[in-house]
Amino acid sequence: MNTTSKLLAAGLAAGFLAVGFVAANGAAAVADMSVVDKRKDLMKNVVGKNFGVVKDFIEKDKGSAADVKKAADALVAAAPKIAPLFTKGTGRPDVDPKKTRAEAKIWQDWAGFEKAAKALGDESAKLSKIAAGGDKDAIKKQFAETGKNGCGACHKPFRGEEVK
Amino acid sequence: MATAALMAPPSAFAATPDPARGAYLFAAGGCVACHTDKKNKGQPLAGGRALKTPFGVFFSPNITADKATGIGNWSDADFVRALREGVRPDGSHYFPSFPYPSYSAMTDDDMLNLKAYLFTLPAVAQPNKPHDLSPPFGWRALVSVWKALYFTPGAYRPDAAKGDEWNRGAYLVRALGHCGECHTPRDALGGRKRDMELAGTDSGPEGGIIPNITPDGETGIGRWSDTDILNVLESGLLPNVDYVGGQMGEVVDEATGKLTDADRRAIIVYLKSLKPIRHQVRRKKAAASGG
Repeated sequence: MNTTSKLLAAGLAAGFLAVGFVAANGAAAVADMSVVDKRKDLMKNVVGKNFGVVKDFIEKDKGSAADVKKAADALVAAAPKIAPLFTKGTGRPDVDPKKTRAEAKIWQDWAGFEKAAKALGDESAKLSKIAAGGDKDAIKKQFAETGKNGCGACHKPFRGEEVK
Repeated sequence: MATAALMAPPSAFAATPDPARGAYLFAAGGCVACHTDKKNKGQPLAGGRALKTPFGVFFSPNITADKATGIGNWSDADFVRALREGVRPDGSHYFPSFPYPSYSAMTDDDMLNLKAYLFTLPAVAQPNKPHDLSPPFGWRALVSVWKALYFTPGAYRPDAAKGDEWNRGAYLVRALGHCGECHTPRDALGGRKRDMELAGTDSGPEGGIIPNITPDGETGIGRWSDTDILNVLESGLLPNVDYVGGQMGEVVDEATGKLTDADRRAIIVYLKSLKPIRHQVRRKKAAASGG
């Protein structure tokens, strides 16, 4: 090869390397932020909505024990979807605290976070069984347990304050 | 229990302090949350918890009965003075990050029952960490000026025109629960705005939004039912089926969740009697926010 060709080849090689380097780092640096909206949607429109069905049954006599069971089953199905929506880099402090209340502790204590998410599923499974029995008092008790162990156990340590 | 004690005039340390009653006051007063460095797995009440404020970072002191580094050497009079007047045994002022402006309203009996309970808990040797405050806020002597502006010490005096339940609720909210210390907005010098009791703020501790809990229909809890308020106090469940997180979660776990039902109902009676204050602190879609 003559000098010009060598230079050209070297330049091209360097160019490819540079592009590859940028691409690799670029992809790693930008987390998929669509999970933030997805998890808000899951929490509000699936978890919240179904939990609300149970709450209305207890407080306002709305619906039946069968409706409660259906809602509990939906919660059981939703629980495993939670953790996968909390991918690294999508919480505080990496993300604007106005956009998400997910605290860094989630990833510092991932095992604890997963445990809390699983608890929602476990408590909801109990709720489903109890609802099948139709006893309103038992449903009320398990609703409280589900709230405490399935919702509070996660929200209290892992969800931060709303900021302006 | 407490209504009778509440209606009696402040005693001169007459009764024998009762640590069992003190345990309940300890829960209602929320001492453990500030005085324990949970984040760093600190021992209960040994202090060291960081409290970030616009004035800098405060580190809570050791209030175990350790004689060298805690309050083990304090007399009953020392303890009452600390809560009632916000002064240390040596006479220097406490910064109002210690919410004595609220605790001042506790009765002497309650203070001494609380002290008796504290002294049954394990003593921990842990020296206090100095606060990290921005000048001039770190100059302790200036607290005397702050007190002149914002603080009038004194035990709660029941309002004879209102019922027992209202007075109990007022006592729980204003004195023990010290709810206003977070929920009432403050001015630039950190004094609570008197005409904005419990109206919320967007610059609360840890930089968070603290909700308006006056009965305003648009910006406060005016549309909440008694059950809605009870649910929050008991377990942290919000009317939109969300659950409180962070700091209020701690309050529910350590304090309001441990009260008797009667006491929670008294708080509700008091809150619903407050002047509704229109003060928008949450973003409009706050009820729907999450993530």
